[in-house]
Amino acid sequence: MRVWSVIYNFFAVLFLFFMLVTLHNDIKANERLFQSLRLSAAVDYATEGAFLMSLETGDLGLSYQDMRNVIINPDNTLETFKYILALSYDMGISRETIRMLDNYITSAVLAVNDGYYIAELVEDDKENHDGSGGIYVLKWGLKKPYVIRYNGSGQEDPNGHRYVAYSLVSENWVYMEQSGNTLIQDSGDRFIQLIGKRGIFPSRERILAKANELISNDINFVIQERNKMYDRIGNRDFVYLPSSVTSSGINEVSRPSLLVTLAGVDFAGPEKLEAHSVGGFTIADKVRVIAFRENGQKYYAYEGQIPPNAPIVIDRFFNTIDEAALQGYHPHVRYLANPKRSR
Amino acid sequence: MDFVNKIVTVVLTFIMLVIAPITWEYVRSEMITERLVLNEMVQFLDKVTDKGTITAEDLDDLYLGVNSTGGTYDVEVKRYVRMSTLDEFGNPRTIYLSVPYEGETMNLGDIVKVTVDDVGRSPAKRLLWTLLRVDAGESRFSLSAMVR
Repeated sequence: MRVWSVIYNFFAVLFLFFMLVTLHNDIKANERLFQSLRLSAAVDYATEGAFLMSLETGDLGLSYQDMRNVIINPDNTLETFKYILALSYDMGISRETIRMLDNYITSAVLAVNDGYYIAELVEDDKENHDGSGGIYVLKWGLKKPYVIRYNGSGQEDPNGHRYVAYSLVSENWVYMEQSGNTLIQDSGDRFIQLIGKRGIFPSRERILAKANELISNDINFVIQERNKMYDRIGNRDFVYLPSSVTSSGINEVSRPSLLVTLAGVDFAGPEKLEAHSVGGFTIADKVRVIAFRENGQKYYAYEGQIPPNAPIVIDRFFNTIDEAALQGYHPHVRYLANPKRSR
Repeated sequence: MDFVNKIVTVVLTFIMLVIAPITWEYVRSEMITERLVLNEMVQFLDKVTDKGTITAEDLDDLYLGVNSTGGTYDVEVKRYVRMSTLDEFGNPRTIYLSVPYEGETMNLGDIVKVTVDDVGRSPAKRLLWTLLRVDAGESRFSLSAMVR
């Protein structure tokens, strides 16, 4: 009898151990799932907001479908992304927070109609006033066009000497040819001109495929470099952009959009997480900033926020509040909370 | 010795058959609750950032949705307006100021932030505390989105 109860107890302890391990793994898996859901929601909202901030349009009221000639300015995009992410995780918006968040953004691409920007780490001399530099911040690089190279007979050739840069949505093109020491330059807004003048037959599918290929290659290169820098070995980050919508529902980049990938996120829970997000949305309208004086004080607010009978003197208009602040205008705390003019 | 063995057997049986399943179930349901709360927050943010206003009905909807998941949550909704000032070196510095949203139309670029704070003590937490004296701490999370 005693032997049997010892055997029973032994197995009971063993089973209890198994149960504990299973429970622990279950809790961990659930926690990870929840944190990654939360991170992806936060990153999606941040991407969406950042893309909205990049639109530098007048009062166009265009929908996403008609975004042919929308000007996109990458100035505030990354900052806005980081601000919203910081707010989602209850972090204060300080310069330190923003710089810390740089470490998690492995890459960001802002694809616009006629080219794309890719975020790179650059030395920011403004940070150190003694000129020593040494502080690296994430900034948008140069705009890179969607270029296809052709050879002399108008065939696509990766080593060709004729370059044509295309736009994603319109038929705008820029032609560049290097023959010896001379550079031939041409441009137009119809494909038919390109066919007639240069004997190159562009196709919409090929341009989209090339643009997606260029962005994929660049983004993966940047991700690899960044992972090397942060010793994230064995990182599974790999971004693939198809040239057309795949059966599994992956979209190609065919309109202005913003892509952000994050890796090694350790502020979002006990484990390191990764997140990817693509944004591209409807524009409503963008209103100007009015710089004015009230009781001799310089203030700024958006168009339509100032009550009609307010005792103010309007000085000038700005596109962004940063410009207004640089010119010495202060935020008008009361007016800035008012609705902008509804159209 | 035989007696001690019997006691151990009874205790182990009790742990395996009663305490372990209860703990497991409580912890699992708490995890599911957290995800439901997150869904409610996402729904609320999508709605108000699309409309541009936060009405009493929206807030009621959020409060009811969050609290019907089983826990006791404190929900806080804030609206932030982006402002730019100059710092001591003359560089522009961005600040977000919390402003009232009741009865106001929000603007493109404003940020709505929802914070959910688990103020209650869920069965899982109580059980873990009673049995093991482990306190998981309060769970609190936020989500913010920009008005479109």
